[in-house]
Amino acid sequence: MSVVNPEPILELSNLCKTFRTKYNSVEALKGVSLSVNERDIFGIIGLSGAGKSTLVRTINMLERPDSGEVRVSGREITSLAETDLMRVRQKIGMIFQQFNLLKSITVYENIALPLRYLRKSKAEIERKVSDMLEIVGLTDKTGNYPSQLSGGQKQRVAIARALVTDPKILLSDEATSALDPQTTDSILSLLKELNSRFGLTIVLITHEVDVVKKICSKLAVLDKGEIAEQGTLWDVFANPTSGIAKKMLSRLFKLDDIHCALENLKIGKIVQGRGLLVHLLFKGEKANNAYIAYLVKNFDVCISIIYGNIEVIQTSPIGSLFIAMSGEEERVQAALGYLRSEGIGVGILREWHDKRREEIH
Amino acid sequence: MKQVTCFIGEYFPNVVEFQGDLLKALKETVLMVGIAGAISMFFGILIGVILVVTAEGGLYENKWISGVAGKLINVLRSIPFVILVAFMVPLTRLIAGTSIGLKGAIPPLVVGIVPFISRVIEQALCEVDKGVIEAARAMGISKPYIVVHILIREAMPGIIRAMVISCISLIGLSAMAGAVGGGGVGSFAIRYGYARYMVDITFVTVLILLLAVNLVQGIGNKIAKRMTH
Repeated sequence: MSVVNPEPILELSNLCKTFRTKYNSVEALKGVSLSVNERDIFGIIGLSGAGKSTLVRTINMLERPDSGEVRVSGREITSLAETDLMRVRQKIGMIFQQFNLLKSITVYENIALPLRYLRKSKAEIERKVSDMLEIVGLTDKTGNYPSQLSGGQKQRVAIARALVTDPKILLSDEATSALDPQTTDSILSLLKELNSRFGLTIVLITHEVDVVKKICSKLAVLDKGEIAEQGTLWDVFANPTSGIAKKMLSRLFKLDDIHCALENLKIGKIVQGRGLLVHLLFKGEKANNAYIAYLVKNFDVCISIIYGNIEVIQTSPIGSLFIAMSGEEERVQAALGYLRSEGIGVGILREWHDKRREEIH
Repeated sequence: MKQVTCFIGEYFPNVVEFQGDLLKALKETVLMVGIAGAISMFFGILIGVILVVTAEGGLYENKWISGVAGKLINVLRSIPFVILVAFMVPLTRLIAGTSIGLKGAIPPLVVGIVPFISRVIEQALCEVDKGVIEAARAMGISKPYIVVHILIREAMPGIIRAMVISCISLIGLSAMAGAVGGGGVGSFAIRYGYARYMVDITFVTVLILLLAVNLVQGIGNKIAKRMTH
């Protein structure tokens, strides 16, 4: 918002990739286009098999696309020869789900590896490696071998190794998927710190909504090799249009859990007979208003709150509330109409009242 | 000490009588295994690396090379060694100038063991995590550097173990090469132990080979263990 139209550091346009085997072919990417600005933390989310890993591998040409363009800092790289490509790759760091550290050498040597390849002086290697160790918080593990480290520590070493050559972009391929929730959080906050401290652009592939929610500023939803939706995190979360994004959002608000709970007879009985079961989504500023009290006062409806929670997406809140609403039919409808006119997401889950009436007649 | 000499003299009379020949045979075996081993390790590692990098999904994927190399290895491995030695006589003469003795034994030993070493080295290299190679490529490291500094370095414990197995096989083959005129403890055992019914010589030869195999295995295990982290 403060920066005026920042330059895209990474531009993918119309990428296609098909994997062919003897027996079948799989279209992994079907014309994917997206652009990542400098300093973005760009999340690419999708289910497994959506083409995420293929997509991230086309960014540094570990996987050559069949057609389409990849521009890194404005330079088209799909047509580059191997040696030029190597130079581009040296400016793009990458981390992986399985860390991919060398088992036979120490933490220090793992981080020094890219520098040794570039024939940097001994003094420079020592300075850079100890800087990186400091940044990732592993100064006491210099001489250890990867097998002596925990998963989170291994990923920290991998991050240090990926960034020791000062790349401007970091690609993260499911980097936290093999870690427990706490370690995931610590790695994510490290990535966020690197982003804000050094202006590192991060492209992050994941299947976890939580990961995206925690650190991404922009988001693309990949579904079956196509971008289903893309925009700022807020855009996608507040107004999901694709089925896959809606599903993601419902996971974030634990909608499935609620449905499950309502299937439960006891809870179902309590809710039953109290009218309409409604799911409300309050976005941004709307989350601050006292709608429930207003409805009760002005529309003469009865409302019981079943479950509510709030998620903060990029400093803006999204509130999710499940209520059971009862009262005269037209008043209930008027109340719902009012909520809709206020720009509140209204989803009617189940009409308990009607169902019961049917049973009586 | 005297008792020991007495014991040996009583139970191993021929060993004592021909101890000069035995020592010479031992020296020949050590030389055979050493020279043939060094040459074969070089070619074995080379071919093993070629097999791995040209395989499907490898750094230098090449169906033609990997196909031909694989078939050639299978053909050579299917020829029994004794037959290979006879079959190779003209070639051996061409390379070593003679087909008998220590010199003559080395070419067939190399040809006999290289296909085997190539396969075990290939296996050791296959153990290296593909992800590590991918990470190195993502860093912009060149393929030759990856092969030498990452692929081979990461596979080193496995390569050492492969070398131990190959060395033991080579000791076995060297004894066989001895039987067909190559010298060494193999021919010593055949000439005296088998042809002249000196059972004690056969027994001592077996004992020596047993010790040699154990020594190689023991040292190899220690090195491999030290290299595994």
